[in-house]
Amino acid sequence: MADAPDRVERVLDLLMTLLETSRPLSREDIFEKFKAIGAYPESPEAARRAFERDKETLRALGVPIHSQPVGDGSVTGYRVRPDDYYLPDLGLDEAETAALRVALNAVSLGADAGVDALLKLGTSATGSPVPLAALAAAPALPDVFEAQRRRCVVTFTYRGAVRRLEPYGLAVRRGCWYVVGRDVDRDAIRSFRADRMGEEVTVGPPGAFTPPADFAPGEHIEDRAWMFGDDPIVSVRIRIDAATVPLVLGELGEDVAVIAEESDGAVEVEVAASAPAALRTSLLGFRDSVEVLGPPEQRAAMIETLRSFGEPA
Amino acid sequence: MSPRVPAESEIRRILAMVPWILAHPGCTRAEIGARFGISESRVVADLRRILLIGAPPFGGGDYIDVIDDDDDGGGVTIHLGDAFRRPLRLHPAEALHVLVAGRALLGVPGAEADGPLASALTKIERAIGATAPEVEIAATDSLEPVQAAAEAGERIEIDYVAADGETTSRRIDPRRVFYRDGQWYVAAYCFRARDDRMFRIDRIRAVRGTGERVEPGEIPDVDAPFRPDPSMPRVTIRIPPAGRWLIEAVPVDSVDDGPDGTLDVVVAVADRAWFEGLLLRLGPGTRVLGPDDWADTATTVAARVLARYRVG
Repeated sequence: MADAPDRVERVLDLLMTLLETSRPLSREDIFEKFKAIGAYPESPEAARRAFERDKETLRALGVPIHSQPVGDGSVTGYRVRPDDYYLPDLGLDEAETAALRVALNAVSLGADAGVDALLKLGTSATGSPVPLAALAAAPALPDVFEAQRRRCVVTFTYRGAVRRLEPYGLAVRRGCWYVVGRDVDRDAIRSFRADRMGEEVTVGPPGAFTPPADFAPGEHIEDRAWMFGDDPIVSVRIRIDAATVPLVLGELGEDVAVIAEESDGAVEVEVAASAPAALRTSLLGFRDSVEVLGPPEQRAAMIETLRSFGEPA
Repeated sequence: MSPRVPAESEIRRILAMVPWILAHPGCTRAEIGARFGISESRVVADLRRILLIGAPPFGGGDYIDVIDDDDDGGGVTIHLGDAFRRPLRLHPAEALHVLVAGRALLGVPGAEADGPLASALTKIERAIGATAPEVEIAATDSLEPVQAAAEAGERIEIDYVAADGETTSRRIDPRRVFYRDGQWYVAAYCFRARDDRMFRIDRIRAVRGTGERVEPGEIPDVDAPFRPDPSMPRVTIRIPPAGRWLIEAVPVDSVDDGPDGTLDVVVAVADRAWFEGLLLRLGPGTRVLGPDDWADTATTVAARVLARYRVG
């Protein structure tokens, strides 16, 4: 008999076994079958731990291990269904494969998963990539993306509250990731910043919903902090000094109404806000180059905020 | 994804290698090495490993068979490896990266909307039953001329609006244009600063060609994390829990836990006006811990803004 396989070989043997089996195998089944090569430790506890670790490694690699009760139902059986495991034939031609290589080299996404994808797609991983664009990643993204694909409800914490969402789509806007879908409890379309979602995302059973046809997540994204409120919308009038007009308008976005332009280049604008406190925070960043003109209660609130900093010593 | 352990990356590579060799019988060890970015001795070791993969009952015909005739000109072939005839499906993180990279590149000005990249994405979406994320990479007016100058190696003159609103004209040698965290930047040598600088392209108001060639210089490594200039003043501030957004929004030297959930953060101050605005946005709950001559920054600037409202 050959030497007992090392861990890499044992994991690969296990995968091959789970792929080739026509019925789910329990842990004990596998120990029994692997006895011949002395793959798992003899102590039942050590063997159980080693098996769980192997299973975890395979799952981390993305291997879809299917588990279901076997025998009298008290034992779990495992198998890997070939249809779930194999990368479907994508039918990519040479130009398409080359275009994907260029894209994966040009756009980085947090920690790189791109090289492995390239190998699977049949192109080499060589070449020195000089990324043109770097997009941030968020820990929850792969899980949410997979949940969107399989149409699973996701549960996560957001700003301290638990939300349940049917994820319809993902979008990147101004360098931030958003998850857009139907908020189950509010029965309304909502968008969430992926980097502000808690790391723990619970994924429900697949096929739980049908997204609307041609859903365009970008149309439902709210990325202006001052529109996150639930209060009635107020229209805040602001004067911006000439020198800072481009900077302030850049921050406030496109849908600001310019109501007056003065000869020195200063402008008066109106901004809709459902969370005026958040608007005040944004405006404070521009110091004395902007002034809240009205309505009076908004002007008073700005004065009060400024007074809360206290008198200079 | 979980952090890579050596065993994991080895398994990953072997699972990609077996189907590739099955599809390319008679390939050379050198080809395998080039394809997977490993040395030939590593290839030999991997092939030996593949030879040891089997399934119960682990009899003679239950192992993958590798024939390495490369030394005799026959190349490498694999038999009985049918279980691994296709690569493992894309991990969700990989599929996401492929689709988002493709969408992002299609969104960059000048991309071919009906080219091979677009058709490749459609095929992948269909095959895995997923919808690619929407990626908006907004172009700004100055992007095209700056990019063209960087590609052609032409020195340009720009009107640039700094963070404090002041506009200056600068001659720059553009070296590299890139997109990061929602903004387009150009890394350039700036003749006004007499140093390398990064400019936000949305703040470039005008671009004028000079007809001069750029001085040859190094392409800056813009992927390295941004490190503030060591010569900038450093200010330590204590921020309340609600001010945690600062750590993600601003490059900071260090973050330490303060009392009651506060954080003590050391910030590099590139520009006084910017720092004043930052303190106002953080609110009165933030304190400057030092140096002493920065302690009154927030109250002083708040008073200056109040003066504009003609109230005390």
